[in-house]
Amino acid sequence: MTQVQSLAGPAARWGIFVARRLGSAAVALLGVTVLLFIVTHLMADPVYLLIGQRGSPAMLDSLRHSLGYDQPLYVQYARYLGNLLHGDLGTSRYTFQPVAQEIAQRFPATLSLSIAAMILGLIWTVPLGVLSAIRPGGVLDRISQALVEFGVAIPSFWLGLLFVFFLYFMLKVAPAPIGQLDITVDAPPHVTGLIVIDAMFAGDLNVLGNALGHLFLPALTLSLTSCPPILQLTRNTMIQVLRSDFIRAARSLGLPARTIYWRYALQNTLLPVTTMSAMTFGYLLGGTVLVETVFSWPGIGLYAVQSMQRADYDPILGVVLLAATIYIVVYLAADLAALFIDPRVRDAS
Amino acid sequence: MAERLKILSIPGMSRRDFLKLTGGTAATLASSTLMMELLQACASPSSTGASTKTLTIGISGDPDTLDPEFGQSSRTNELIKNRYAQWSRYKEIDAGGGNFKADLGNVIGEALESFSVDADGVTVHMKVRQAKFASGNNQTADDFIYKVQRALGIPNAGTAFDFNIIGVSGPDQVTKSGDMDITFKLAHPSPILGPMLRDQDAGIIDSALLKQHVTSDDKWGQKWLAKNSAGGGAYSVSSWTPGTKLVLRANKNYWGPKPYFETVVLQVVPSSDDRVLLLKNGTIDIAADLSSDSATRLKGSSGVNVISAPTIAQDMFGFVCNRPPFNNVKVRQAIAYAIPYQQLVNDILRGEAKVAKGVFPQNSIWFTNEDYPYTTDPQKAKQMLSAAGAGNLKFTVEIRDSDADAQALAVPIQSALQQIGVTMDINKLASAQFQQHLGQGGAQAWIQSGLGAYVDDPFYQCFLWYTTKAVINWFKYSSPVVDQVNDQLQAELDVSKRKSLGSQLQKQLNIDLPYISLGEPNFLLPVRDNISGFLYEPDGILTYRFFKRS
Repeated sequence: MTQVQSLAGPAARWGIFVARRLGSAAVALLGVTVLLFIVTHLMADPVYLLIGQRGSPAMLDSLRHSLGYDQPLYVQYARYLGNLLHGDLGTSRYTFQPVAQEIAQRFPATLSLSIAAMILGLIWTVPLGVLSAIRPGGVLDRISQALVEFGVAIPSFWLGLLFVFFLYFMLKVAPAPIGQLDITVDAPPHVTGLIVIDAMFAGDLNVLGNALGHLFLPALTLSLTSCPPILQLTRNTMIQVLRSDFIRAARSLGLPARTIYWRYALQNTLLPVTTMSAMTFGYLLGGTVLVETVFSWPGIGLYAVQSMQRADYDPILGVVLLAATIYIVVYLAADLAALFIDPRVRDAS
Repeated sequence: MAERLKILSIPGMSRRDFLKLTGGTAATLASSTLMMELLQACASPSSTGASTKTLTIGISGDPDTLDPEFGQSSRTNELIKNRYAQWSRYKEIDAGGGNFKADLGNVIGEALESFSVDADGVTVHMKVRQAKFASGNNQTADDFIYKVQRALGIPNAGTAFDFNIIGVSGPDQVTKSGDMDITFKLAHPSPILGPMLRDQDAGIIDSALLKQHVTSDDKWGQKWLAKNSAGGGAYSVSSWTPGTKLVLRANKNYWGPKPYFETVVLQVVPSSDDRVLLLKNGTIDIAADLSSDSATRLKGSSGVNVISAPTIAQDMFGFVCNRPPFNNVKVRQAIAYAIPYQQLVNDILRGEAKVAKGVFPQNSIWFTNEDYPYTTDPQKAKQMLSAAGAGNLKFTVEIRDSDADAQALAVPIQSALQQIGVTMDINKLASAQFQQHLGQGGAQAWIQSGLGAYVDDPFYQCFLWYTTKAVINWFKYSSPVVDQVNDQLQAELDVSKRKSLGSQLQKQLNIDLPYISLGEPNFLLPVRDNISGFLYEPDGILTYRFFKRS
């Protein structure tokens, strides 16, 4: 009995932890819908743009009535929330297509770009952060600090434009900045929506190579401009860890430097780095409109901006809700990862 | 040797650091080279040029919809025009250099074989052309009747305008008089019947096909037609990946001459800088949606030709005439004397425009050189403002944030006004907000580039803009003289009388100045130098079927 209790105890605590977080997430999302609904509806009356240049006042009134925009705002919100609870994100007033469907078409592009940017980012930031921390003030550290300052200071669209100008236009070594594939290359059959993965499923190496080529520069741009904080955090945390007693003890015991740095110190550095990486990933998933613009990347960032221009309410709400949900899920995942990684956090929880 | 190393040494840098740095640099160079090799391997040859029978156009964004009843943006209109056969069209004439222009005085049948108007001026007989839609369905009178019913049946369809302006407000005015014959009963004789039925919105829909996609809650099939084609024009949509590209294929059933290009790709490239680079590199054949500045800067680029065609478009400085300070005509006139017209044409529009000589554009066939005294004269502007009691005038001008030309034009105007003590604030707005302010008359003034009438006719312009009840009287302008002229123009078929009425209209507008024409810009289309066959029409919409590659 005691054994059963001891096994059920942690599981129950985990369950409570997750349930609490999900409960607060639901409240946060509700708040987001209220705030956003008010802001978007006060932003502009979309019927003038919807009707275009040939609409009479009678047509404007008719359209406003048919869309329910002549109802009080709280009535409109109640209707929206009712639909939302049934999984309906609404319909674009321009394309007449369900918002969920349009987001589903666009999100894989953002997801693949974010994943690629994060992979590239982690590849260069974490090892460089560790190496910088091993010899603070050394050449490598100075280079990494310069990279951090460069990445934080340079606007992502500017770096993207530089890549396009030099690598595509001048040197002609990069693919044209026209989205995920060349003009004449057709997308592989839809399985996941992620073109790289779908090309693998289809076994089409030409499409795979083409997709990777198109993915590389925007991902590199994002990794250079979004991931430097990970490098900085890795470096700073690693420096602190390397000064701790257990590392000193490991050194005095004669453990090889490689083992100390890459096994013991790095493991103790990972907790804040994981959180920072999760935050960065969440930010990238929310859509990176400037980089999407430069590389004609058909992600949700551009979709959101286009919808904002038109005051197309439902797509704006849909994208922001998605971004908010992503943030909440990513943060929850980061917290759960912290629980696994660090026993101190587990005990504190 | 040791001395040499000393010379090379950098303070604070050890030998080990030096070796690391040089090693790191070498590694960086090697990895950069590898990266370039990899990129080059991934960049297939197709990225630097498509098939010769494929026309690739770089566009700034997706069309809103493919439904012909909702043509509210130039891209949507372009796609409607090229996928649907309109009732009529302008005959094209040679414009030199392998390009064409519309013969505005010669309207011929397109989806219609022919049409004629009875002596009463209101009974119109139309003969439907023997043709097939892209689906293979035969085009019949039923499709034309359905078009009118749909245009007038959807409560907010923009196409209703096309029919209302020619005197058709109810579907019962259009009847089928045979399988291939239709009769219109107009409410009044219409001088613009032919030109209106060539409007892109007037595309004939394959009613048999569309009716297969009608549902109980969507009786006009709007949801399906927003993403699909049901036309009989020269092209048909093959695929559309929103945010990426829209592919059109030549319609094998099109009744007219076969287009040169079998495929037209509209590639979405939101960045105008990218569109310029893509055109220069030959990845795309046409760079659309460029500002005057970007387009003119492409002149002289290797492999690029910038087609320039005179238009009836204008860059407008609109006044909201029922709000201070522009409810005072003297203030409007004073501002007109302060505008640096030649500077705008030379510096902003880079010589690809005419300085206005009236409220009507000079390329309009109705333009008459009425008294238009407004030239750049800051002293006179200052005196007039002072006389009007508006010495320290301050106002806000609104601009759409996607209108690069308008933004560029606003800056020298702001400086010129500042020199005579007028403060003009510039307020950039998102499209929806800008359009709302236009509709509600919420601004004091606004600037828009490239505005022009799709039909070159004084009645069309009045009906659209100038009368008190005009559809888009963004000026909130009202003049009994203009209203009266409009009433007379509406049903007047005699050309000389229309000329006279048009002249009267211009005279009044030149006095009242609901807007100032900042310039009359040419239509600029940057293309690869092996592309020809551009057809210029007043609507400025591209017609793909005439394009060729040499």
